[in-house]
Amino acid sequence: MMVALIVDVGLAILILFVAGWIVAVRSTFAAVIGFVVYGLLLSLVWVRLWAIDIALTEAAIGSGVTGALLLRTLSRLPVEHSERSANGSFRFIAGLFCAFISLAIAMVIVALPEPAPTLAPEASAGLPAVGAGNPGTAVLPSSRAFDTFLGKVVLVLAPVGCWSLAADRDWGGTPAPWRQSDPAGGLEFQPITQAALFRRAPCSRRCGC
Amino acid sequence: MKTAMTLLLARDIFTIVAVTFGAFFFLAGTVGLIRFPDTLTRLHALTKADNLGLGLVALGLLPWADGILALKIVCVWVLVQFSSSTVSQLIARLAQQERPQA
Amino acid sequence: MDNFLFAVAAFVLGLLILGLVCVLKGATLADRMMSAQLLGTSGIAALLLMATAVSEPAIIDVALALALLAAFASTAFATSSGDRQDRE
Repeated sequence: MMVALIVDVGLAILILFVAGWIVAVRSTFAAVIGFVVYGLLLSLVWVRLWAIDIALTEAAIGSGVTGALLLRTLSRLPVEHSERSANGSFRFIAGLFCAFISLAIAMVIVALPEPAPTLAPEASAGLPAVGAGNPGTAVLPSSRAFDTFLGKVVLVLAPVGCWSLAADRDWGGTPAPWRQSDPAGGLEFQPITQAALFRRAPCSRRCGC
Repeated sequence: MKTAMTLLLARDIFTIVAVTFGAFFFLAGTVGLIRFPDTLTRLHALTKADNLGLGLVALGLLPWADGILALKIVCVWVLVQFSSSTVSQLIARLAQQERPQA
Repeated sequence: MDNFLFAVAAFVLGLLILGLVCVLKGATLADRMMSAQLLGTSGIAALLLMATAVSEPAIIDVALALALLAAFASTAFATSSGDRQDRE
């Protein structure tokens, strides 16, 4: 299909261009939006590579949630960080480094033997012992338990790293809500409380309440 | 046999017409986004025209989906309607705050 | 039909990029908020078209997730800028 090929090539060029733009742009807000765009384009690429579940994850987490998280972080930065430095040598070197890693991964994937080595036959052989009918469900409790456990190690190391690197004065007080909600804001649902319903007029002196 | 073929042809024509109109509305929305002078008018072009384009595209793709999938496509469109109407109000309020004289 | 749907998907993606370029050069913060809206709507249209072109119904689920997350990200954009303006 010629048109599909054009779409694929176009997507690939577009992704490389957007990645370069994110590294080069000066406004951090624009960089965050560029990241969300990048996530969306990447999920389209996953769709074209027939990895639909990865596309779902990318669209939801890689693009949406990470974008919201980055914006939240950006809103907490002091205002002087909203424009990145004009001298972009650090960013340029970081971009080169990331490009080098991408190239290395691409070379490894291209150099894989055909058919690619996989543990799927061994995994399928062990499935009846788990007793679940669906192979996806069978893989989840058997193998993902290890994955999640090792992920916990990462999650423990991350705050330890943050604690070590951040200054003491940045850690203060008890954890606060994500955002103080604006009572007049349109997104707030204000349940009518009993007190509001039966709000009494101020008592005069005579009733003694 | 002949009615089956005309039905298939009708389905193809319906999809092509609906999707083309949808793409046209996307084009109109993007042109409006580029050319309109004001933030609020640009928001208007973006939300209204793009959503209509999406609705027409979804309509054009309905004959190709069976049963629950057609319902899913309609659900996607309805969800986009609700969310974009809310979000456009949020953005409009933000634009209003930045430009209090209007 | 498949080629036609792919062509329309490519067209919608091209419009998305064009719209993003203009929105990101836009003057005010609200202009840049609209990028999430644009991404959501155009991305969903492209995904639905691709789902029909390759006859893979799971892609409609990706479009559904994108619809939800576009709303979420747009709200995050709008409210986070509200935070910034309060702080400034």
